[in-house]
Amino acid sequence: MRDLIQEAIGWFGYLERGQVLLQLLGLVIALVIARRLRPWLVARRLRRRWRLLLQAMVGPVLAVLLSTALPLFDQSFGLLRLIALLWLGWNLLTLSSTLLRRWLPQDRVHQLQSRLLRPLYLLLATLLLINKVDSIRDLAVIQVGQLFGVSIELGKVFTALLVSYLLLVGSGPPAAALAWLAQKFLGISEGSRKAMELILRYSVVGVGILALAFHVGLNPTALLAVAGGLSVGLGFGVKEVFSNFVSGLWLLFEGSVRPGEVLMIDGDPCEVRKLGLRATLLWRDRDNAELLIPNQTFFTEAATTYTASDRMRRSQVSVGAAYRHPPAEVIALLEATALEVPRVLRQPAPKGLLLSYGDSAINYALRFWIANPMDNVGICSEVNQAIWEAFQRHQIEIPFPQQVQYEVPWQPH
Amino acid sequence: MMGRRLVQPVRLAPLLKRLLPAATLAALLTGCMPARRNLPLVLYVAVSIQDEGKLTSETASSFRKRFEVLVREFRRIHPNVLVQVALYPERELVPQMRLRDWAGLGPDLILTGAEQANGLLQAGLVDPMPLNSQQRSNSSTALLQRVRNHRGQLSGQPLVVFPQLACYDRRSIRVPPTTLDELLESSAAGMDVGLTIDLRQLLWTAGDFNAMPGLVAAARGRQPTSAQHQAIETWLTWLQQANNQQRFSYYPDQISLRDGLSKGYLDWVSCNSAELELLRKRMGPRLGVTPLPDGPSHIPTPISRLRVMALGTNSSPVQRQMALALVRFSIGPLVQRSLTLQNLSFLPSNPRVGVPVLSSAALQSMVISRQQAMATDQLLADLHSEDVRVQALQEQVMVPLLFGVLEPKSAAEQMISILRTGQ
Repeated sequence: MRDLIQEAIGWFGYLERGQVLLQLLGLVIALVIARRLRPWLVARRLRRRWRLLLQAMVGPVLAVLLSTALPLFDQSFGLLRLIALLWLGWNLLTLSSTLLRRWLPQDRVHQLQSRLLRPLYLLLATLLLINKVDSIRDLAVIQVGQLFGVSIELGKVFTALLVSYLLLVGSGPPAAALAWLAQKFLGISEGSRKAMELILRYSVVGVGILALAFHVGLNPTALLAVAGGLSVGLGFGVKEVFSNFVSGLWLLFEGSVRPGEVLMIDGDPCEVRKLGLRATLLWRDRDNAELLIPNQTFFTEAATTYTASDRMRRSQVSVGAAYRHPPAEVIALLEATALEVPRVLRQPAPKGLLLSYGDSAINYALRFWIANPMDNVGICSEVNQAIWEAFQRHQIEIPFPQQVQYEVPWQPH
Repeated sequence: MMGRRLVQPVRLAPLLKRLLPAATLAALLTGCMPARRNLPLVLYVAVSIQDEGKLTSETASSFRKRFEVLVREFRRIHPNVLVQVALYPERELVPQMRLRDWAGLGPDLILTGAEQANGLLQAGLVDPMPLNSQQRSNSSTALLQRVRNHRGQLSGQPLVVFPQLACYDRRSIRVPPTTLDELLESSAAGMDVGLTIDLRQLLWTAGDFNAMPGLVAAARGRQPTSAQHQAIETWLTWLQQANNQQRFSYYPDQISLRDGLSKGYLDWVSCNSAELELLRKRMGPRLGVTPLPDGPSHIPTPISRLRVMALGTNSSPVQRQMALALVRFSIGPLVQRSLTLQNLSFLPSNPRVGVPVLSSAALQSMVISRQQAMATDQLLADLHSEDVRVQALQEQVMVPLLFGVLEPKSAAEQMISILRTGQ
C-alpha cells in the first residue's frame, strides 16, 4: 500500500512540466468560459432539449478546440483532449437519463445511473488518466499484503472488488429476465417468479465470490480456514445477521413468504414486497406504511397467511335487526344483498347467520368470500352500505339501544 | 457608464482568483523562483521487460530490486531527486510511450533493449542521446554502433549487456554438453532439452554451422556465396532433425523454457542472463550455467541483449539535466562494477571495467558468450526486433521448418530471399 501511495504522490511531479501546466490552464479556461456562457444559454429561447445539449457540449468542445490548437505551437495536447472527452462523456451520460426515462421508470433510471453507469464511468476515467502517467500493469502487480501465505496483488484485489460490485448490482436484470422466461414457458406463479429471481441472484453472487477467491489466489485450504473462522465469528458476533440470511433463504425455498404473499401482521393484512438478505419488506394498505421485519421472525413465530394455497379470504360483517322481523326473511335478504356487491364472490356463496338475541336487536352475521385479501376493508364497507340500503328498501329497522329513565318513588335509605 | 465600470472588476475578480493559484504553481514549478534548487524533483523512468508477455509481481520485484541499487547510489549525490519507475511488457512500450508523449506525460528516461530504442528514435518518441567525452570514454564503440542510426544519432546510452547462455539442472546433468553432438547424445540418453522457436533465440546455432556470414550478407542485400548458402541449409537441417529426437523439444517462448527448467521437466535450455536471478531464486544450487555448445567446426553466435537508457521527449529542462546526470552516473566504472558484482546477471557496457571471471562461473560464461556474440552484433544492428523481415522469417520459415512442413533446402532459399527484400 505504501508503494501505491508513493506512486500516486509521485504523479504530481508532472506539474514540473510547462506543457502539462499549459494543458491544465486550457482546461481552466474552458471551464470558466462554459460557466460564463451558462446564464446566456439559459436566457436563449431554445427548446429545452437543445438548451441542455448545448450546455453539455459547450465546455468540452471548447477544451477539444484548445487541444487542437496546442500542436500548432508545438505543444502536447493529449491530456487536455482526454479530459475534454471524459468531460463530454460525463455530461452526455447525465443527459441520457432524460432519454432513458422514456422507456424505464424514473426510480429504475436513477438506480441505473447512480449504481452502475456513473461509478463505472468514473472508474474508467480514473484508469484512463492513470494510464497516461503510469503503467497500469505495473501498478496491478504491486503487492498489498499476504493472506494465508498467498501474496495479494493490487490488480487482483481491484478486479475482485469490481466484479463483486458488478455481480451485486448487475446480476439483477439477467436474473429477472431468466425468471420471467421461466414464468412464460413453465407457467409458474408471480410469487414463484420473484422467488426464482432472488434465488438465481444469490446463486450467481455466491458462485462469483467463490470464483473471485480462487482468482485472487486463495487455495481451497485457505478458503476452508476462512469458512472455519467465519463459523466461529458467526457463533458470536454476527449470529443475528447470519440467522436472518439463512431464514430468508429457507423461506424462499419453502415458498411460505414470497414477494406478493399476504400476511396478517398485528391484525392488518400486509403484502410482502421484497425478501431481503436480512429483513422482509411488507406493505400495509391501511396507512401505506412499509414494514421491515427480520426474516427470523417468520421463521420462528406463527404467522397467518391468506395466500398459501389460494388467495381467497372469507370475510364477515355484523348487523342487528329489530325483533319484529322474522329471522328467515332477514337472512335471505342479507345473502341476496351480498351477491349484489360486485367484488363479493358468487362461489362459495355468501352465508347469513343468526348469532344471538341482543338487548335491543337480533344480531346477524353475513359471511362472504373475496378474491384479494388486501381488499377486505373496502369490500366490507361496500357490503355494509348495500345492507343499509336493502334494509331501507324492505323497511327493516336497525335498532339502537334504548333506555327508559324514570324517577324512583321512594327515598333511598 | 459608471455602472459598467463598477461591474467589470467584480466579474474579473473570480477569474483572477481562479487563475492566480495555477499561475503561482506554474511559476514555482517551472524554475522561475530561486528556491527551485531545493524542491524535490521527480524523474520518471519507463522500463520495458523483455520476453514477458505478461508482467508478474515476481519479474517486477526482481527488476525493481536491481534498479533500486542504482537509484540509491545516485540519490547520495542528488538527494532531492525521486525516481519513479513504470514497467511495461516490451510489446506494449511503444504504443504506451506514444500515448504518454501526446499528453506531455512521457517518461524522462526509457530503459529498454537497443533494437527497441532504435525504433523509438525513428518514431520520434525519444531524443537523440548527446555524447560527451566522459560518456565516450565509458562506452564501447561496438555497443554504440548498435544504437547509432544512419544520421549518426544515438538512440540511447548502452548500460548493461545480457549475454545468451545455457542453463541446466545440476541434479540431472553433472557435466554439461560442450558441443552440439554431445547435446544430442545427452538428449538421446534421457536428458530433456528445450529451445524456443523464436529465430532470434536460435541464432546461436547458426554460428555452430558457420551460417552467420551468409545471413549477414543476405541481410545487407547481397547474394550469399554457394558455400554460405550451403552452411545456412546445413544449419536449418540440423534444427529440423534435432526436433526428431524424443527428448528434444521446441517451445513457443523463453518463459516456457524458464518454467520448464525450474519446475524440473526440462534439464537443459538456452537462456538469457537476465533470467538468472529468477532461476536462482526458484532453483537455488540446482541451477548450472555454462556457455552455449560449439558446433562441429565452429563456435556459437549467441545474442547479447543490450539494455540502453534513452531520453524521453517531454522532460522539463531540469528533468532533462537530471536524466543525463543519471545516465552518466550509471555508466561510471565504479557504478558499473558494483552493479555487475551485486547482481551477477549481466556484464557492464563500460569497456574500462574488468570483470572478475575467476570469482564466478556465471560471469565467466557470460564473458565467453559476450565474446562469441560479437559476430551477431552486425546482424542485430541490421535486423532489429521490429524489422518486418524478422516476423516474416518467423512465420514463413522457422515455424513451418520446425514443424516439418518446409524442407531445409526451400527454407534456406526463402530465408535468403526474405532477408534480401529489406534492402
